[in-house]
Amino acid sequence: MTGSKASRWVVILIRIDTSSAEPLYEQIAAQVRAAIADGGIEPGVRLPAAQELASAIGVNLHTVLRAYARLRDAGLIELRPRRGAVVCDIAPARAGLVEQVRLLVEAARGQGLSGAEILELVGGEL
Amino acid sequence: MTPRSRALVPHLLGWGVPLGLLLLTVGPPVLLWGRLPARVADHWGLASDVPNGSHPKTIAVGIAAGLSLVGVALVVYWARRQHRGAYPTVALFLGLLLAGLGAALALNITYTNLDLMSWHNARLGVAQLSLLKIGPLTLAIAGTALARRVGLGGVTSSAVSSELAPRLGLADSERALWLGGARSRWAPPVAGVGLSVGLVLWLGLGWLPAIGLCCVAIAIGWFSSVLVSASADGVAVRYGPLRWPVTRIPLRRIVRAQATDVRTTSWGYRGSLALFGAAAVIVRSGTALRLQLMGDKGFVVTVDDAATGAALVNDELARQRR
Repeated sequence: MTGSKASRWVVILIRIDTSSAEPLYEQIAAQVRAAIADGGIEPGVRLPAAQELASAIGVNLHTVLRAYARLRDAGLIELRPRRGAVVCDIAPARAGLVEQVRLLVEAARGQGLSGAEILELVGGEL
Repeated sequence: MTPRSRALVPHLLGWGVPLGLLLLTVGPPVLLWGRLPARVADHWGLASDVPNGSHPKTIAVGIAAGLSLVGVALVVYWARRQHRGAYPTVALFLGLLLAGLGAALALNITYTNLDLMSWHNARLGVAQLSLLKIGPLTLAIAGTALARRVGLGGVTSSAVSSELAPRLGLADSERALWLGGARSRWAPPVAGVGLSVGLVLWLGLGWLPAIGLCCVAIAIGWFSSVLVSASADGVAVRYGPLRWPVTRIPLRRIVRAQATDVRTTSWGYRGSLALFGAAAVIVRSGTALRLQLMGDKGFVVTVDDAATGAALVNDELARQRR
């Protein structure tokens, strides 16, 4: 990446692999989340319309909507009528946290822990 | 035009004309200060030569001087930058317009109020009306045209240093969308100042000159940011907060993409010119995406992380040709 005199407000590469075992909506959500976490997308920025993104990367509209719903559930974006998906003010801080939780769950699954055991583990820390 | 007179144009437009306008703005009212009434007429209706607005002379002359100063500052800014290459004409045009308006206003105030007991008696003749309504615009258009004629508004391709963009290396099973943005730092404040001056003009001179300035200010503000996307469909450039209008370049028209580095002083501010099909959308200095198009044409748009965008376009081109 080359430098710029102006502040970066939108820089994101959404790259999906249709042969991957990871669901497409999760791939999309993960890359948007990563872009928000590393400052590639500022709060207040409107993400591409679901139809436009779906058409550009050749996936079903519902796949993108599901990815956006996942980001909304994580508190990273707001889905507003007519304005589309807008990045929340708290998203940059929250995205890092969500990514750490995702990595934690992935690591725990890798060690063979069940969902209940992961919750118990986290609950113990609380 | 001889080379000698051609060489004089930058000095004439950059220093001679603005200084002359500033002197015309300040000189007459200051020299004839004692012969002006305490309150001077400074606004006339469109259909009548009878004044319908007045201000204390300090404020009326101050408004005119303020307009001129802003205009002179814009022209001087243009003059300082032009020697590094071709320069946008927007600053020159606005500068001449504002400085001309200030001078015309000050001259009219002085001439029509001279030796009057009351501002109500100030009459605006056809000559003064023309000076106020047409003079500044004519000056701005003529000055801008002159600058372009002597080659101060062109695009120099040698100002672009290009580098080959890396490839992303997309697998057959991969699909991608790249999104990048660029914002101008100076255009929003300039648009804000333009709007403010427009509102002041509205109060002082009426809606006709004000509405033109407001439109220019809104256009500058609107085209101060771009959002660029690249995908298997090609490249799309969206302008302003509403991401409209959209310039779409389908992949089949693109030969190759590169990341380049551009300077506004070399290319000029060409966001607004995108409306007229220009080949460059430059809202700031720095990284830009450069597309080589079919028919030996080119398109440049300033955008952050242009290298990734160019790499994706090249990948999609390679995939299409397989």
